[in-house]
Amino acid sequence: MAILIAIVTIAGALVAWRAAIIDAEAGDADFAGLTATINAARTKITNTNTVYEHYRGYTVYTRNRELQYLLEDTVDPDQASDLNVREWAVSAQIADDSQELFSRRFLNEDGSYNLKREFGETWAEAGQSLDLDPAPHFAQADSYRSKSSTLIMVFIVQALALLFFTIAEGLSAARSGWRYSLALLGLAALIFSVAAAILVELG
Amino acid sequence: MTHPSEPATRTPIFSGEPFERVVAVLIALVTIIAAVVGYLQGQASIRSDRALREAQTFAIEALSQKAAGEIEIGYAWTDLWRSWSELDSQAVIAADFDDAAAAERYDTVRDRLIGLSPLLAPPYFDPDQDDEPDVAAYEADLYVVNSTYLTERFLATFEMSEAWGDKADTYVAHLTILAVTLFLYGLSVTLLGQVRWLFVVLGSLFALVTVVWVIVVYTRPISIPSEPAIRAYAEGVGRLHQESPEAAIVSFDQALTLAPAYADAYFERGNAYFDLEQLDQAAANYEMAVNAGRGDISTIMELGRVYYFQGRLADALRLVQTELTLGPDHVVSYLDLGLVNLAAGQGEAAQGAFEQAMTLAGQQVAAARAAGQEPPDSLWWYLDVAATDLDSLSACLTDQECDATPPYDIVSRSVPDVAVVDAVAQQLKELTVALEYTGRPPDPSTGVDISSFEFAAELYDDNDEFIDYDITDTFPADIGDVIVLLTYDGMQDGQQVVVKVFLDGEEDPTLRVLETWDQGQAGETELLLSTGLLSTFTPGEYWVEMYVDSHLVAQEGFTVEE
Repeated sequence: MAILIAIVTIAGALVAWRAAIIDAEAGDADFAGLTATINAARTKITNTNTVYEHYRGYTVYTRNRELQYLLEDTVDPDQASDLNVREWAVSAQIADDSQELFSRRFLNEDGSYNLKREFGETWAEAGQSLDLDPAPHFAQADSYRSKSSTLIMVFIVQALALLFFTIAEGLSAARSGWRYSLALLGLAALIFSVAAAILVELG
Repeated sequence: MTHPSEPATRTPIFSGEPFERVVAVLIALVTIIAAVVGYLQGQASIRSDRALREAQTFAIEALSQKAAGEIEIGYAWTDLWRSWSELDSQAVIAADFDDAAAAERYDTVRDRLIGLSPLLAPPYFDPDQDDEPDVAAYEADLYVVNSTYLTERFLATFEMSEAWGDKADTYVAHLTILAVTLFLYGLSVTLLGQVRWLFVVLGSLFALVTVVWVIVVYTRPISIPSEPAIRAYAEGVGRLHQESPEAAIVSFDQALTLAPAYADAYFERGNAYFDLEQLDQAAANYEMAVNAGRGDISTIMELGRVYYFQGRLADALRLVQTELTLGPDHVVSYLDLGLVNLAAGQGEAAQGAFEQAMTLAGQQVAAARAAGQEPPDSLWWYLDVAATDLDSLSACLTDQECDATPPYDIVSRSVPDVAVVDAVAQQLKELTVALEYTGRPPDPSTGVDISSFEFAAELYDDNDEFIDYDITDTFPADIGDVIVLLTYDGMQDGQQVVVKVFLDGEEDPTLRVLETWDQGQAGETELLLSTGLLSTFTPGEYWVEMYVDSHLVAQEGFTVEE
């Protein structure tokens, strides 16, 4: 019986140690998840800024190109005043210059700007060098914590086994029925707990 | 053979030394209890960690949503709206110059810009009805509601994390006591005689108390506002942001129905009632916010302000003392102390508080400038508000217009002399201008004399030639320029002149004039207050203050009609 008590004590210590180790791994996974959250937030802010810088350029382009075209459409070149010609030249030049401020690949067929696509592409580009998805890390942390929690429950079963063994050890020889019953109960609890611990570790 | 007369021998339950067997069983029982407590501690710790992680995630997301939203608003307002208004102005000017074709071109391009952001389209903007887009509504929809929601979720989950953390820490204390219990049991088997039972009883008592304590901790509820309550609260904040306090109150009511102890919701509902000038409800809500645990300085300040307006000066004074406890170096607390004391007729105490506030303000500005930084923006705000409060108190005493002061019967009974109020107001105003432009308190008096300070509109003939000034203190609604005519003496070239213009008690910073004087010692001159070529003065009561080297040398008001 003393050997069984020793075994259950050692098994309990092992389970407690593994629970602590797995809990620490959960902390690491949480840290990775929070890092990804910060990466995602930083990328969102930076990309919004970048995309809207481009969109500002597109706004200037739109305003001036439209003015240029309207001047071409509505003013007869032979009758254009100096002011008209100068306004046309200024608009055309500003529109040309502002084309440098955004990428034409984000222009839709109707000439509008596809903000959503630029956001998507810049996000994908950032995702190549940064971890932007915290969800898998948090899921892993939850899984580790669940394991750790189950191992602590296993530890309770082992404590029960210890109680059964201790009582069985103390009972007088005249109560052998009780002794063996309790010892068997303790053994069952011990085997169950070891099996459960192995399953938790493997699962 | 047995002898019937001999008593039957009872089989012992335990073999060996009974005391040791009992102790062994007790040790095993306490081990089980410890294992259960360890499990509870682990669970509490897991919940605390998970809540903390969620809180951190919410905080990061709230910040990123707000930052990204403000970038978008920045584009929509400062780029797109500015372009739209420029084109609109160009169209108006072209039409004024009878260039219909150009006007049409500008109109067409202007309308083309409408599709570039929701800000320039309904429900935020209708060019036929609105002068400018409803930015507050767009901000509310774009990020205010969501970032408020995320911030509140952060606060709630952080609170939950703290609560579970407290439970986990308490379970650790339980485990420590159980370890002591095990030690006592272990020690008992090394002793002889009755004293060993003392250790067993003591250990068992510890174990029993611990079990009861564990049950108490386990059953202690952890309560935070529910997700729907937070959603309703965030909607309310969004509505308040759009200056719709009635609608906001409906949302806050809903939040408080779902979470009756939601302190932030009481505070914001108090703000909404304050905006509606329903002071009794505002005070009640601020009080409930404090009772629900929101005892921060902003809540105390708002409640104290409401008490002041209600004329509950003793209560207001009590709260100002709390303000001073929470922030002993806060300029605003001394300004509040001065104001409340002044209204309560405690002139000496008021003067002391205002002097302390002005000294602290000067020190803060000097420290910031010495460190190569700007003083906190809130400082200017608080100084301006204090000066406005003093002006209101003065107006209450002289004209019985007591909109932003305690009731007239209280003020008139307690304040002996309006000149005292005016003198403090002037001191504060001069200090504000001096700190803002020189970083130090104003120098002694300048000796400037402004003998005439009048307002006028310019009159032109049919050929747009200037004829004369129309001196008046009432202007029509479409006025775009107001001329200030002044007669002066004692000025020196190089002196700094600041003109502040207030509309209905609040400064309109777009009309502020900042000049270096170059017109000699004495004479007559004019200053132009202009809203620009195409804009006009908003109807209302205007008040103009002129400062020379931070000294208030002239002030007068005019009206722009509806």
